Amino acid sequence: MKKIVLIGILLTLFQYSPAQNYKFQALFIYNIVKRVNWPSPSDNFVIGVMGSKELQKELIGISKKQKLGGKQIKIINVSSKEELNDIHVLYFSRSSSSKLNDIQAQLKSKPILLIGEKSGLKGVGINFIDNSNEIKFEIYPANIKDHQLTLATSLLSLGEVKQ
Amino acid sequence: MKLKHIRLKNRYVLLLVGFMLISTSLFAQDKSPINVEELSLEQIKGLTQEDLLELPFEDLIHLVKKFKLSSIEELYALLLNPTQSTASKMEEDVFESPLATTVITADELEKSGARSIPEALKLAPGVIVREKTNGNYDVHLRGNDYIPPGSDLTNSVNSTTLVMIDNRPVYNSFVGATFWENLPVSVNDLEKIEIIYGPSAALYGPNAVSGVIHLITKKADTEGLQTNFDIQAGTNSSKIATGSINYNKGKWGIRLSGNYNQSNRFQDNYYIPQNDEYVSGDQVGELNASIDTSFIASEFSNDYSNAIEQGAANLDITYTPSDKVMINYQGSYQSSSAQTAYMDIGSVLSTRKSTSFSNSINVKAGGFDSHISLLSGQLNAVEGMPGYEYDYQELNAKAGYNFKYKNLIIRPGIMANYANYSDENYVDIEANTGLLNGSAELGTVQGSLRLDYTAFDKLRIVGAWLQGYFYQPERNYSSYQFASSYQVNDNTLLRAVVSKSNSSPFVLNTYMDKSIQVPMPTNPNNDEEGYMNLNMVGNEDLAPQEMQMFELGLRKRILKNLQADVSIFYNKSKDYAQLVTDETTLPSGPPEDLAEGEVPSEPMNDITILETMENLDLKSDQIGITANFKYVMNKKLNMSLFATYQHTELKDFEISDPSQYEELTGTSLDDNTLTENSEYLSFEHSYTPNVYGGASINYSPTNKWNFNTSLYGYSKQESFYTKGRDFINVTIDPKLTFNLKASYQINTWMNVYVNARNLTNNTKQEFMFTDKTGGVYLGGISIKL
Repeated sequence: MKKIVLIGILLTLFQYSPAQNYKFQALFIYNIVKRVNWPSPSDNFVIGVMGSKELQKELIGISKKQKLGGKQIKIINVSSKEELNDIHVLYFSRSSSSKLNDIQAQLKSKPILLIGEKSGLKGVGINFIDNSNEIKFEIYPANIKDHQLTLATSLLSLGEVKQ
Repeated sequence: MKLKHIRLKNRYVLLLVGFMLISTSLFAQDKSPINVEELSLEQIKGLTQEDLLELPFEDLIHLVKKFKLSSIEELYALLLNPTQSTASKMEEDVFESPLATTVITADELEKSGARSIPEALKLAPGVIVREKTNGNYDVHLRGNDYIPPGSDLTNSVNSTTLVMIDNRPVYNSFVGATFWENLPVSVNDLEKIEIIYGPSAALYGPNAVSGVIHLITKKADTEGLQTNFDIQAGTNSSKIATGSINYNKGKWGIRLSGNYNQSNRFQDNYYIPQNDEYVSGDQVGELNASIDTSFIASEFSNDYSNAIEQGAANLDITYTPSDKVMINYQGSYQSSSAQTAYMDIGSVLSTRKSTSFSNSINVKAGGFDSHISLLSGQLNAVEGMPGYEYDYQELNAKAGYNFKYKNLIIRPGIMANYANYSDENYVDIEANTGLLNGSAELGTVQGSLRLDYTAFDKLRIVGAWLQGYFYQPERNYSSYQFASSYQVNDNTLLRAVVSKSNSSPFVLNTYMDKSIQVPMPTNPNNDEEGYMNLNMVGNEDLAPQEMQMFELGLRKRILKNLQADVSIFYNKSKDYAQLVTDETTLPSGPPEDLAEGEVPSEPMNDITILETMENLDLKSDQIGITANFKYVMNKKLNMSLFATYQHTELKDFEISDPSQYEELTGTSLDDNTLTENSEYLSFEHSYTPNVYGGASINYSPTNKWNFNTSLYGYSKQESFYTKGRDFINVTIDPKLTFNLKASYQINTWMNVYVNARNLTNNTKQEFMFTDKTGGVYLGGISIKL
């Protein structure tokens, strides 16, 4: 198994602009989500973002150019539990990680891919670790399966699989 | 006709094939518009989100791998170009920094086996590190040390480098020095050490004259609970223990850390320069008291073998309410005792003890950052010598904002410092037995503006100006820093710097008020005694030391895994200060008509000498070159090599003592010539070694084993020392020391190691008149849970 797939944005390439990391993280999220299958169809493909305005901006850019599963991508800013209906992906920025515990029960078994960006964070399906100079992501297949989602095996070789 | 038809047919076929080829090629380009293999770095920079969305994920990852982002490239980046934020007050690669910059990362610190922060500075180019006693160091950036030569040893302390822990200056304003054993953090608390060379007051305020050493501490940023303990013990009764508990939950991170360090000297006797002899510990107290009658013999520490004992605890709380906002609190307590060289009291070594408590808060919100800290402490710089014990408070506050407009970053900043030092709890104020005899205050406020403009992605121009005001004592001052860098191509960066900085006034230089009264016989007819009164006073009008620097630099990625960083620097320093005899009231003396053998009938007057702290005409010009090479062979092996060559010339060194003149020039002058008109000499300042540098190699043959060897050395150092009319030539021989740390990772949480410092036990003296420092051999265990 390939141990690590990472993306790190050296400031040599992109000076003084932390948003550049989110630019690539957003691209990674789009590519990862393409390799995940959801059980039930719906009108739109909804990605909820908790906390990171930069990522949200990058994802909105992608949503205007691409579709997922033939559906329009809709990016929403999530700030409360009420906004979690009909959501496919929920992203927790580093500073919003604590909210995961509060809503985990509500999301349990629902077909939602949870994505975090904090080293050591438990309960997510995909976790971006170290988003400063490099971006690595961990894959938690068991957590993904618990949410009734299936993964393309090709993804497993691209991230760091955690059992 | 048939032939023609066939030819026509062939033509159509050719056209069709051609069309197909072209369309296939177009189609292929359509499907895969970007050939990752052929993209240059510049082309990658220009890729839009649309372009990148077209890439299959594998290609995106491949692109990332190809251009610096694979794990080995990540390693290159990590080892060759760690990021730093001290040079420009914003995160950037070392390669990009317009100033001469070095970063030592936590990983390098851990693998090196460095026992303390000053010892770890031997891993950085351009730093002169001399061990005085086991574990106690003198640290200077690039040199200009012990100026004026021949003066008191207190002038050997580094008063021109600003050392900070997470933006908190740890500078002692009493004499202008960093007492390294007073720092509450250990090597294991550090995320990295960032070093900026050259005058940097325009960003950091006064005292960043020869540069800045910024110690950035670790934070609890990993979710959950982590603990880390490291214990090592070895020869010279060495015991070093550090530990930390980190807990992060959501927006909160808490880190509690502690450290303890104790080690013994390599000898238990003491060198007395004035007598050129070593004496045993139990003789030193009395001997010092006989040389300086104010010294209290019984208070000389009887723990003659102790070199250093220090302990500290730190609490670090970080609150991150959003991605752009971070609030950090640090509270630290430390207690330390070090037997080291500070001033000549007969013995050069004496014990310095201190306790201090500090609180600091750092806030970051978008482009805004601010810091406020308060340190309260008690310090006895020379145990047994009245007047050197004091209570002190240091308050620091600063704030700045990075406005970004297209390619321009504008950073306005404000800073304020206040220091209060008082010896009133330790001396008889009425009898003037102290150095201050009361409390003394220093204060500054500064405003700064920094502009950072990048043109055509290649040319960067940085200008910073600081306008400051010392409100106690009153004075305006300004500092500047102009830097420019030009990115010739992806692998080459040229840079130039012109900058000027001042130190701030120091408490002792400004407010010293010391009286020494030495009994002396004044009436030869009987035992009647008078006194020699020596009054030493500070000077509020003293100009603070100033350095102006010109620097040229080249950074070059010779290969993707080999990087060179070369700096050529020229600096001019002036406004050094020293106690100068201002006024001497001599005894009336015997009558002129006194016959030989006849004794005077009247007693003579007391002698009174007034010494005032005055600026000297002395100037120092230094030119030098530092080269630093880093090479990452592969994941298992990496190395660095660095060296500095420099020449320092002292100009206008005033000399009024004929014996000193003779020693320095080899020619003699009669007393009167020099009394009437001082001579001014220019000569090479050889106390800063002409050549110094080091190297390190890290080898990890397997995931379990790691071997780290480092070496550090310098060429011969020469100077002279005077005490009264005694002139002592000082020669420090060249010295090269090797260190080796070999570690074995037993399992995921336990690592055991052996750590040899000065492996070959080279016992040459590193600092004038201090111990012959040798090897220390330790074994240790590190646990990370």
